[in-house]
Amino acid sequence: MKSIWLARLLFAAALLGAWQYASGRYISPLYVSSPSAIGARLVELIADGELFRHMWITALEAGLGFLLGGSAGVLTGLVLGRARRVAEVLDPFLMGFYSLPKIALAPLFVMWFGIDIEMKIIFAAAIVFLMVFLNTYSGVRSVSRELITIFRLMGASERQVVAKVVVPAALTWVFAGLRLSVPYALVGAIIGELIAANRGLGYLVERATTQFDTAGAFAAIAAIIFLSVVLNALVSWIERRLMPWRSVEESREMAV
Amino acid sequence: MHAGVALAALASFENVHKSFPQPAGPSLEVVAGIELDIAAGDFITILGPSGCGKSTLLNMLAGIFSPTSGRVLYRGVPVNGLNLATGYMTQNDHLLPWRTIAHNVRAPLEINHVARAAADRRVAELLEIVGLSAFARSYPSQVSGGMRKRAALARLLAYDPETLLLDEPFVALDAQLRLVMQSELRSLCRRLGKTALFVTHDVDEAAALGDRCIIFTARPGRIRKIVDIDLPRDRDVLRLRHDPRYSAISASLWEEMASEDRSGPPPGATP
Repeated sequence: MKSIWLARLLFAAALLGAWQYASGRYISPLYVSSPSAIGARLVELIADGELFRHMWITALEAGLGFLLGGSAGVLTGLVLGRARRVAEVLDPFLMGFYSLPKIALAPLFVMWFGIDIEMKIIFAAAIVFLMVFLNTYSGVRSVSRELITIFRLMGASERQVVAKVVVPAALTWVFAGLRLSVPYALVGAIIGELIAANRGLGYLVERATTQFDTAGAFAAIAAIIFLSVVLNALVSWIERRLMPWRSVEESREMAV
Repeated sequence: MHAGVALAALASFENVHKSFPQPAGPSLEVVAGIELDIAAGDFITILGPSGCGKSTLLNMLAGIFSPTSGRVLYRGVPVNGLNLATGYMTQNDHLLPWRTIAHNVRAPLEINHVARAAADRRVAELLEIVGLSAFARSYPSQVSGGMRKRAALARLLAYDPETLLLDEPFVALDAQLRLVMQSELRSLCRRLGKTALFVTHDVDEAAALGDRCIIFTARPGRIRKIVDIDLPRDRDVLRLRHDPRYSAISASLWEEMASEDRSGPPPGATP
C-alpha cells in the first residue's frame, strides 16, 4: 500500500517537474502557464476569498442539481421499473432524450430559466436525472421475478415488495448511477456557467482565459477537480453507510 | 359424511393442459392431460426428465399462472391468482443479501405484521430447528450453501404455508449435506403436518422422500405412472440406504425412467 502511494507521489512530481521545465523553454507559458505560477495564482485567489466564493456557487448548483435530478431519477426509475407497460411506451422517447447531447439544450435553458443560478441547477438536474433514472430502472428490472413471487406468496403487498425487496436490491444500481452522475452534475453546472454567468468556477475559467490569465484558468480547473473529488467521496461514504452488507461481501472476496 | 371429508383432496388437477405462446411458430405444450389428487399431509415427489413441465405443475398450484385448459382446485376452489396457502422454495435460496440470516427468516413475519416479541421468539425457534442459531447475525454471503438452504427452509416455515412447493431445492448441495437436508425436510413435514410437492430429477431422492412418486413423460409432460412408495411414513431417511425395500423401490423407479428412455427423448436424470 505504502509503495503504491510513493509511486503515485513520484509520478505527480515527475509530471509537475516536466511541466515546470518545459514551460518557457519549449512551450510559451501563455498557453500552458506553469505549476509554480498556478500555485501562486491559487494562493492569491484563496487569499482574497474569490476562489471559495465561486466554488461555493458551483458546488451549490451541482449539489442541488444532483439532489433534484437524483431523487427524481430514483423515483421515476422505481415507478417505471414496476410498471412495465408504461415503460415500454416511454422507452423510445427516453432513449431519444438520452442520446441527445444535453449541451444542445443549454441555450434553450437560458431562454426558459434565465442566466441565474436556477438555470444551472435545472440543467445539472436534467443531466443527472437521466443517468440515475436509467440505472435505477435497470436495477429494478433486474430483481429476480422468482424472488418477488416468493415474497408475494408470503402475502407481501406491492408496497411491501417494493420496500423490502425492490428498493434494497436496486440500491447497488442506484448508487452506481449516482456515482456516475457526480461529474455530470458538475458538467451541467459548469457548462451553464460557461454559457452565461457572472459567478462560479466555470465563469472563473472563462474570465481568466479571456484575460490571457492562463494560470488563473488552471487554478480554477484545479478547484473543479477538487470539488469533484469531494462530491465523489461524499457519495461513496453515504453508500457505505446505507449498504453495510456490501463491505462484508467485498472483504469476503478479498479473503478468497 | 365424515369419511367423505377425509377423502376429499386438498388439491386436484382436472385434465390440466398448459401451453406457452412462442415468439415464432406454434405454442409450446408443456403439460397435457394432468389428472391428480393430492391429500392433506401427502409428501409427493414428482420425477421426470428436465423440461417436462414438473415446475409448471407447481406454478399452477401456486397460482403464478393458470392452466390453458382444465382446472386446478385447491380446497375445492379453482386457484385464481396467487395461492397464499402455498410456499415456494427453489434451487436458488433467494435470501436477501442485505439482511442477516435472522432478518431473512423474519421477513415473512414482518410482512404479516407479527408483533416484535412474538417474531423474535419465532425466529429463534426456527433457527434452532434448522441448526442456525449460531449464525443468526451472519450475512448470507458469510455462510455456506447448505446453511443458506437451511435459512431458506426456516423462512419458508416462518410463514407456515399449508403446502410446500419444492422445486429441486437441494440440487446444488453435496451428497452428504443433501441427505441431511432431505431427512430434516421429511421429518419437519411429518411433524408439522405439511403437504409437500417435491420436484426432482433424482430417482433416489424421489424414492427416499415421497409417500407417492409421480413419474412424468418427456414434453409435453403427462403423468406416466403414479407409484406408491411402500415405506413407513415415519421413516428415517438417513438410514434408508440399508433398507432392502428402499433399494427395490428405487430400482423399480429407475426401470420406469429407463423405459421412458427407450420410448422418448432421453431423460435428464442424474445417476
